[in-house]
Amino acid sequence: MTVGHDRYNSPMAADPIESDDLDALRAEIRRLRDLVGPSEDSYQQLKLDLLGARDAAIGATASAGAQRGRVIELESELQRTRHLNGLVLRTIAPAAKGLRGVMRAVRASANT
Amino acid sequence: MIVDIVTLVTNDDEATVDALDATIRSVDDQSCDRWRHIIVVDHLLDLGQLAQHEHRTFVTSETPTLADALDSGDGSVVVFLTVGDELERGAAQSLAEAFTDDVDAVYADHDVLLADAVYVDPVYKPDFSPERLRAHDYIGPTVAARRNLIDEIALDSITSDHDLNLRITERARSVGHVSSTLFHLRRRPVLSADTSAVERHCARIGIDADVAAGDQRGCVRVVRRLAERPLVSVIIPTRGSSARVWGVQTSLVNAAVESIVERSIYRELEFVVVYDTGTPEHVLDELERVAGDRLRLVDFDAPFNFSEKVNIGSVHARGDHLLLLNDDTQLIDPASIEVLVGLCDAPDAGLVGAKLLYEDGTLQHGGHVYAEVPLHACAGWPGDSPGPAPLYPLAVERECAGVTAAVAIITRDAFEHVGGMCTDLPVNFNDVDLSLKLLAEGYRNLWTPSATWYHFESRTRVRGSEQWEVDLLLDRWQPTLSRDPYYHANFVSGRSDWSERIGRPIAGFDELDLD
Repeated sequence: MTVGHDRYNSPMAADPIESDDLDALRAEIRRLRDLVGPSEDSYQQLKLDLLGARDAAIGATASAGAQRGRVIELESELQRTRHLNGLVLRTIAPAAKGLRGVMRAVRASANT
Repeated sequence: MIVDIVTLVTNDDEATVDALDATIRSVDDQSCDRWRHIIVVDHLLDLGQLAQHEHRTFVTSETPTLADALDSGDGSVVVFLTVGDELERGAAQSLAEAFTDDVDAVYADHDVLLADAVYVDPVYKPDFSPERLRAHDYIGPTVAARRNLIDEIALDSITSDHDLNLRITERARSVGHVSSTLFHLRRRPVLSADTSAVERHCARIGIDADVAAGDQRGCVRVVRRLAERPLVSVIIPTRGSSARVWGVQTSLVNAAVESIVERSIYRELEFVVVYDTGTPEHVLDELERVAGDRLRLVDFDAPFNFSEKVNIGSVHARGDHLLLLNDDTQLIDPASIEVLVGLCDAPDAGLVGAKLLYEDGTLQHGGHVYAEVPLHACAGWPGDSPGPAPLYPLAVERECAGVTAAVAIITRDAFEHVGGMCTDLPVNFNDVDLSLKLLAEGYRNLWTPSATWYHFESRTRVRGSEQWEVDLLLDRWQPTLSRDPYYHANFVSGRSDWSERIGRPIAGFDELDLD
């Protein structure tokens, strides 16, 4: 035979508790709570605080990330611009050098 | 093979004549004689000002049309060259040589022609990317096509270059790409999209979709409607780890599943969680609470092997769509799974990947780039960045050589066709290998910015790959790793931000040599 167990039908529950005892027990619980820390209410408040802190962390992390991402994007742009700059210098420099020679020749012929 | 170069001239003003003259001279410079230049001009235009050539035909008309030009030529390949645009020397030959076997259309890279005959701002294009072409006209006016294919198109109804390119490529058996700058175009917006042309294209090829404006100017977004909502099996390998996420100690797999259960608008899901034997009991209990009867738990008691866990998960999955998911992820956009299913249902779709963001919102995954080594495109860039100009790869759905398996969907058919994931790669590169197996079998791997997840992979941790893993990967895939079809040989190796390789001369400057 299987014997069922009902936690609400225990020998303790069978003994009626006097209201004075109940008040005393409640007072004792309050005293203990004061001693050991937060109540269920403050636990709920803590959970809300935690969620708030998490949201703040998400916001701050995203804000830092946006800056970090922008830096990486700009570094890439800088690399691109340097590359183009080098390209222009490499291709224009020989032509500019040639132009200087032409100018020198023009000046020389003007002086003579 | 003769190439008919076709130019349509609808104005007769002086500027048009000057522009046409430049176009004509560039055609005359072609190094071969396999071309004919057919120019349809307004009947009022004074032809005496223009250079004559034995290979050039002028057709005059009161209302010039491209059809007039086609009627006047008989070359087997047709190139449309706009007034003012120029061909690079040797372009006709390069284009003609690209028409091999079943190639019906070819396009090339281009740059921008400045007024002083200097060419700048090259646009290096990926190999043919139909998904990307639906999002924007990355090809531009640089296409050549076989005449029989052009003959099938009602040219008088063409509304834009984008329209023409869509019509040509949807008819072509195969589309080639010449990775050289063969066209010099006048300054114009690099990116453009013809919304109505994309709508008509989708209707023609059987894509049931809305075409909406994209986030990036010059792009549109094809939003597919699902004919049915198949069961998607979300396969999650895990060992039940916890980590601090946004400052809070979090059970990763529970958060991954919970984010989908709470946010996803796609509900036809099952969660196949392949867990290590040592996974804490409370993690599994919580999974049952969150996922309910959609959860399938699979015990894995062998040494760690990500690939094997995914393969075993696929065996236990009941769906024909497998969503591979790392346990350190959280869904962001509620429509993400719907977007992935829509893309995955294309007949030749392989692995379809999502946009993954780090915890701080920066980009973790924007598709793979294989530039000698496997890389994540633009890793670390802002999460909402469209990516580098001019083609903005992060703004559009596009083909990639590969995507990460941290979040990716694949049909069971495709997964089994390539034998699943390679168990010889238990930790690293198994997604690269899977992607390249699919690519080699003719599938298109896709990436979409419209499906988004957080991926809490450590941004500071150096991925600890072993030399034998690298060797194995190179042994299997070195040619593709060295030549990513959706990147470009002119981009720097070892970088994934579309940076141009140093050493390119600026075409045109050599003519300024005054020595």
